[in-house]
Amino acid sequence: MSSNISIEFLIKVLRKVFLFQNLPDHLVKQLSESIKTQEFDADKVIIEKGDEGNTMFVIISGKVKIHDGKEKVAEINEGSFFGEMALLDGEPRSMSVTTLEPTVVAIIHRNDFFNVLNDFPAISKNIITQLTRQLRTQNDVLIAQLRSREKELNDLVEKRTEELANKNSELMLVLDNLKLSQQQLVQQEKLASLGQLTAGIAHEIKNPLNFVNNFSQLSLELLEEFNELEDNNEKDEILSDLKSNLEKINNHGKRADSIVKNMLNHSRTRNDDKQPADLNKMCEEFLHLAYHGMFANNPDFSCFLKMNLAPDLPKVNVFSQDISRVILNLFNNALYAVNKRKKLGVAGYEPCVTVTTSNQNNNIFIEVEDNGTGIPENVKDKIFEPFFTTKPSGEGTGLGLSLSYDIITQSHKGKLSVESVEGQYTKFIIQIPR
Amino acid sequence: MKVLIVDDELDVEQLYRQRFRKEIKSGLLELMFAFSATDAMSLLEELAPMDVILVLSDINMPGLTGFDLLKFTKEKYPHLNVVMVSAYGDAENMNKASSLGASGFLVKPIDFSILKEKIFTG
Ligand SMILES: [Mg+2]
Repeated sequence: MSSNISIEFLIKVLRKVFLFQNLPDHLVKQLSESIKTQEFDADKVIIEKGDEGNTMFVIISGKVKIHDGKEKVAEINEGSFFGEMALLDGEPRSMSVTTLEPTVVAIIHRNDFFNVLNDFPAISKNIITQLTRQLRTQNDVLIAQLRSREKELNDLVEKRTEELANKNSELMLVLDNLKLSQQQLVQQEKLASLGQLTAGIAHEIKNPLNFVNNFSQLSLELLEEFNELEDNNEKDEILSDLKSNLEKINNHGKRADSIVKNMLNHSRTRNDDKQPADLNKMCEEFLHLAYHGMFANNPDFSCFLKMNLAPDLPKVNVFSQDISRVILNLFNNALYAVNKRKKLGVAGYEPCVTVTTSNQNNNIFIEVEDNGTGIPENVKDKIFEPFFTTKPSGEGTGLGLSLSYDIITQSHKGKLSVESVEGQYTKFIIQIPR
Repeated sequence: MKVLIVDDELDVEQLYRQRFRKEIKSGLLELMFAFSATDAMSLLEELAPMDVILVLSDINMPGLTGFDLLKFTKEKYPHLNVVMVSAYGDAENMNKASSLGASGFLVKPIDFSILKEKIFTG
């Protein structure tokens, strides 16, 4: 929109513009004559960043903002000019300009400006001075913005750091809880496997205790008989029986003692040191415990137990409570598997669990094999994972094998592997380096 | 009178032999022992026609159990009395023994006066 503004008025305005100071009268007049004016309402875009530019503007009245998107760089008003950058270098507009109130601008075309510049080169000095001022202003604005950004950033970093610290302490708390839960689970698993054993332990202790009671009572009766006897041959016979009975009492006492020790050992938290252990003896005792435990809970149960124990098996340094838990766990699983297969009721099935020990190339091997239900191919990779169980809920914690795996591979630097064919057999192999 | 005693504990032999010392000495009683159900079965088959009047069997033994032996005996020699012996005196075991045809059930430790009664008065 062009407006009716007289040349005289324009000359007056241009005189006020710093850029055209010192410009001779005839050149100011020449420039004024080539100028067009335009009116804008408030909030109108005069130039847009990226536009081609071959004009500059002088504000005759009103107020505009120079901005880069939403970022305001400056506000200028009457007597100020803008758009001179594109006029000088011919590049696209580097900023946008929008009116803040109704504004009238004078538009100077590139060619007209250069005509004036040719005739009066001293105007260059004005341009440089003006540019320097603008640069300084913009610089100040930018620095101020940078400062405020920096502060915002610092505040943000501080806030985030605090948040992270809070999260961190929350996580530490969660971790502590998890550790506690883990300990409780391990303890629960220990108790569960011990619970399965309780009946076996009762049986295994009751049998020797019965012998202790029977043989001691019998011996008392023999002594009474002895006192009434006169025949020396008969007396000798009774004396030899008495001696033999005392040996039996002693043996069965020791047997009960060893079982109680094992049981206490099993549930106690472990020692810090590894101790030399007789793994053959451990296998034998725990296989019997597991067997009798299983039997007590399932009166229909029966199973052949085979022990191929290497007679020259050397003692090995192990955490014996931990190893006994592994062995017991494998025995319990094996007995569970044969019992499950037996319940299928196929005629001619003879359940059997075999434990084999050997010493090869400085490694002790304990193999626990059962001819039970076997492990399906699709769960073979999962059996050592925590909480994986194929037992009905309530029957297994799902921790036995994963704990066993950790005990063998981590605390003893050994290997725990499994071979199985579904419906035929399962064999767990423990390998412990000496 | 012959009695077959079946138990996986070897020391029962010494125990029973001393308990029945007088009866054995006087020829009133002859004791035979088997230490697994399988051994007991082959012994019974060997002895036929037999003069064993009683089988006294433990229940809880590795391999075949006392119940397996009880079933076997009652099928092959229905008139032979079998008395079961167990550390577990629970109803389930007792019911199972009687339903399979056992003529008695003794809980360990054995009260030998009851056992003597079973043997000599039937
Ligand atoms: Mg037994």
